[in-house]
Amino acid sequence: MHDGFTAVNPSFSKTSMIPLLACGWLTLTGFGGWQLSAYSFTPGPQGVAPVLWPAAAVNAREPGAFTVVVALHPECPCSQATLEELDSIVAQSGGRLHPLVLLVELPGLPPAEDSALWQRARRIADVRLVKDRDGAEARRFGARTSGETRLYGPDGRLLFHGGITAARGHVGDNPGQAAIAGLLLHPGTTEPPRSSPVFGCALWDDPGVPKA
Amino acid sequence: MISASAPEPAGVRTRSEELWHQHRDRIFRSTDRLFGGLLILQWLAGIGAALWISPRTWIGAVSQTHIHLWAAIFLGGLIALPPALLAWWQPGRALTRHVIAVAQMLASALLIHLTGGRIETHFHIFGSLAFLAFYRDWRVLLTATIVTAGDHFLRGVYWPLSVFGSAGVSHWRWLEHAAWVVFEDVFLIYACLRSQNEMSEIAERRALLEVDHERIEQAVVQRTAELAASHRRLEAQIVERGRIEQELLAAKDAAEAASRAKSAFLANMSHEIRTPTNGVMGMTSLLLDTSLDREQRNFAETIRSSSDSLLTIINDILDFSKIESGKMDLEEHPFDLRTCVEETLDLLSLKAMEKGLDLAYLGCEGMPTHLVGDVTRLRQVLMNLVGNAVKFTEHGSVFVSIQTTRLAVPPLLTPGRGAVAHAGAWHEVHFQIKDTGIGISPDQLDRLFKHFSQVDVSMTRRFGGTGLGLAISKRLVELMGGRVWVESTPGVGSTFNFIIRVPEAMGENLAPPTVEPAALIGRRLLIVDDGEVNRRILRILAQRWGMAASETISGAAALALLATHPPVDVAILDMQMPGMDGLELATRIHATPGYAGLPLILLSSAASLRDRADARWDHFSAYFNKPIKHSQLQEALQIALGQIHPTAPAPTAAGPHPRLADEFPLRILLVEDNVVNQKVASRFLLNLGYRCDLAANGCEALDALQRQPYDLVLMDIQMPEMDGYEASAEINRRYPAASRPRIVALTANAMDGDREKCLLSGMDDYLSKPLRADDVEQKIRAMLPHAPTAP
Repeated sequence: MHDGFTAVNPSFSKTSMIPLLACGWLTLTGFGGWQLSAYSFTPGPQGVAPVLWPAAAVNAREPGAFTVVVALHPECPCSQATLEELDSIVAQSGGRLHPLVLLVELPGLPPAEDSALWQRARRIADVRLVKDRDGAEARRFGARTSGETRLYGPDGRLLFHGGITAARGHVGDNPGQAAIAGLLLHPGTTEPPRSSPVFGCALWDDPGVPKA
Repeated sequence: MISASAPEPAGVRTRSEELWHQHRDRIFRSTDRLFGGLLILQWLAGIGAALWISPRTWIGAVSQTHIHLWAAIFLGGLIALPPALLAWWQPGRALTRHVIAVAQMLASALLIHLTGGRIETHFHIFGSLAFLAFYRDWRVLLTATIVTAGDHFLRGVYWPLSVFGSAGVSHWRWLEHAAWVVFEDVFLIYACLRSQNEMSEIAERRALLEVDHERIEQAVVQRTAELAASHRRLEAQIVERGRIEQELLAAKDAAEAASRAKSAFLANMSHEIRTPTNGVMGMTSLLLDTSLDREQRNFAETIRSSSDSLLTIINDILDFSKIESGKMDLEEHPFDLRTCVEETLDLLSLKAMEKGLDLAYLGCEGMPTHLVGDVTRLRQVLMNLVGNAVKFTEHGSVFVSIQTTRLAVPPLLTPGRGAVAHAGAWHEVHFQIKDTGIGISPDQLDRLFKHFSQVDVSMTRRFGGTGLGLAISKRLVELMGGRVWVESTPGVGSTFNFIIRVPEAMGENLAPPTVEPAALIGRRLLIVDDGEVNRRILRILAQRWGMAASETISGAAALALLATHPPVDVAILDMQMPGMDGLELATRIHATPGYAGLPLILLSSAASLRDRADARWDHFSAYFNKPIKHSQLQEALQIALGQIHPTAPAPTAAGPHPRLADEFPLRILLVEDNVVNQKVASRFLLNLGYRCDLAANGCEALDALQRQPYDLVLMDIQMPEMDGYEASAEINRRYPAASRPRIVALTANAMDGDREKCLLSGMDDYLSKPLRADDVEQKIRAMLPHAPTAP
C-alpha cells in the first residue's frame, strides 16, 4: 500500500526540490496575504475638524440634538462599511442622533445620486443626504478621507472625529463606533473630542498627503 | 485496507490489493482534476468579485486599480495555479492532493479576509473539507486542518478583525475555530476509513469474480478444446460413416441386383417347371377320363397326386419368396366367410372320408356373413391348417369352430395390407381347428411355425411337405392383423388357432344374412349319428332354428326311440354307422307303423357315390356330403317339412354338367408354342365342347384373326417371334374394343406382378399354368357376360 508522501518519486533532485518549491510557494502566498492585510489596516489622512459647528456651514445643525456629519467619496468601495456602521449607530441612538451625509461631487465623476453609496445612505433613519458640490461643505468640516465622521453635541461642540470602521471595508466593532455610542450615553462630558483612524479613499488630491 | 475475513488464495489477495490501489488511484486522479477546476473557478470568481465590488480606488476625481483586484489576480493566481497545474500534470500523486488541500484552505482564508471575517464565509472551510474528503485520504484532511488552524492563529494574533470580524476577540478564539474544524474532521475521517473498507471489499469481490471468471474461461477453453477434438472425431466418424454408407449403398445395390436376379430366376424357374407340369397334369387328367384298367388308373392317379404335390411345393416356394421379399400384398374384396370355410372343407372332405374322420365346422351365432379381405389367402391358411389336421389324424374328428368379436376400434393396418378405409365394423375372427391326431410335444411347438421346420425329419418322410406351409400361414395371418398359435397334447390331439381382423362388407349386392324361418320352430327332429361331433353340431343348429332335437348314436337306438317316444317331424340319418347304416335304417323307419311318410335326410361322406340302382336312396328327401353346410341343411329341412317347394334340383352331388359349348358356343383361338400344352388346353376345351384353332406364336395369331373373327383368344406369353404381350397390344391396336376378341393369358409365370403386366398389355384375364379343367371352365364362364353373341 502506498500512501502519503512516500508515493512521490524518490529521485534526489525532485525530493530536494519539492520542499523548496513548497516553501517558496507558501512564502510568496504569505507575503501577498501580509501585504493585503497591511493595506487593509493602513488608515487614511484626517483633516482638522472644527471644534464648533462651522458657522459657514450650509447645512444647519439640529438644534438641541446630537448631529453626526459623514463625508463620503461617492465611488469609494470601502465606505459601504462606513454607512453600515452609521446606520447601526443611528438605529441604536433612539432618535437622539441626527445624521448628515455629505456626498462629495467632483468634476468628472458621475452624479452622486447614481452611486451605490447614495442608495444605501437613503435607507438610514432621519438622514439628511446632501450632494456636496466640489466638496465645499466637507471642506468646512475639515474632511480629507471618505468616511471621515464628526459628532457635534446638542450645544454644537465637537465630540468626536475620525472613522467608524476598524479597517478598509470592514464592518464590525471598532473604536469610532464605540466612542460615539459612549458619548450618546454621557452627553454632558467635557472631555476633549475623541478620535479614531479613518479608512477610505482620499476625497481630493492634497499634495504631500500619502495616497490611499 | 484489505480485510481478509476468510482464508483466500494468495492470487486473490494480491489481485485484490492491486484492484484496491487502482480504484484509489482513480479516485485520487479524478478528485485532483475536480479540485484543479474548482481552484481555477474560485480564482476567476475572485477576480470577478473584485472587478464588481472594488475595481478601483479613488483620490478625488482620479482613480487607479484597486489593490484588491491585483490581489485577486496575483495572490489568487499564486494560490490556485500551482495546485491546478499539479492536478493536470501530476494527478494521483500525494504531493498534488496535499498542495491542493493547502491551496483550498488558503483560498478560504483569503475569502474570509476579504469579507472582513464574515462568519458566513467560514463555511467555505467546512465545504472545502467535505470536498477534500472525496479523496478518502484522511491525511489530506489533516494537512488542511493544520493550514486552517495556522491561518486562524496567525491572523488572530495580528489581524483578528480579518478572521473573526472583530478586533476585540480572545487570543484563543482561533482554537475554538480549529476545534470545530476537527469536529468535522472526525466524521469525515470516519467516512474516509469506512469508504476505504468498502473499497477493499469491492476489490476483494471483484478479485474473486475475476478469479472465478478466469477459472470459467479456462474451463471454457478446455471444453472448447475438447469440443474441437470431439468435432474432429465426429468429422472423422462422418467421413467413416460416409464411406460405410457408400459401401452399404453398393451392398444394397448388389443385394437389389441379387434380388432382381433371384426374382428373375424364380420367375424363370416357375415358368420352366410349370410348363412341363402343365403337360403332366393336363395329360393325366385327360388320361383319367379315358377307360383304364384298375392298375393303369392307379398309376395315373399316382401321377396326378404327385404332380399336385409338386405344384403345391412350387406354390409354397413362390409364396415364401414373396413373403421374404415383402412383396406379398393382400387383396381387399368382399367374401362370404361361411362359403369360404365350406369350400375349404369340401376340398378336404374326400381325404377325411378316406381316413374315416368326421370333418365338421360350426360358426358362432350372429357370425357376420360377408367380410372384406383376401379370401384366397384365408382359404390357403385354412387349407393348410385343416389339411395338416386331417393329415396327422388317423381316428376321430377334425372340427373347425369360428368365433367372431366385433372390435370397438379399428386395428392398425399391417404393412402389405391394402390401406383401404372401410365403412363396416371390424371383427376379430377366431378360427379353431381341433383334431384328435398324434399331437405335438411341447419342445417341438416352438419351431413349428419356423421356415423349413417340421416337427421332426421323420415327419417329412412319413407325411411329406416342405415345412413351409405353417410358416407361410403364420405370415399370412400376421398380414391379416392377427396371430397363430397351437395347443397340443401328444397322443390326444392338437388345436390350431388363428385370429384375423377384418371389416364387415357393406353393400346392396351382398346376400342378406340367413333368417331363421319361423316354420322350423317347435318341430321335432331326430338325429341319428354315431359321431359325437356331428351330433353336437346338428343339435346346436336345431336349437338355433327353434327345433326340439332328440339324438341317438345308432339305428337300433333310433328305432327304439321312435317306438317309445312321441312322434318326430323329421329325421337326419348318418350313412356310416356301426351295425346298421343309414340306408337300412331309413328302410326300417319307413316300415315302422306311423312313420311311413317321415321325411328323412341323409348325411354321408360319399353322397356323390350314390348307387342309382339302389332303391333305398329313395327313402330320403335329400342327402348331403359331409361336412354339413348349414344353409343347405336348413333349406332341406324346410323342403322336407313342406314349408317351401324346391326351385332347383335337390342339393345333391349332381352329375356331370351339360357341355358348356352347347349353352355358350364360342370361337376360340389357342395361341401356344408348346405342343404338349397345345394338346392339354385343346383337350380341356374339347371336353367343354369347344373345338379351338391353334397358333404357335403372336404372328400366327394375328394372321388367324385376319382370316376370321374369334370370341376368345387363349394367349401364351413366352413364345418365339412375337410374345403374348406384343400380340395382345397389337390386337388391341388393330381392333376396336367392342369387336375385338377377349384375351385370356396362359402363362407359367406365377410371380407377383405378372397378372398386372398382362392386364396392362391389353389382356382381359389371366390363367396360371399348369392349367386345370375347372379353372378353364370358370374363366370362360366369367367372361361370358362380356363375350359377343355367337352366331
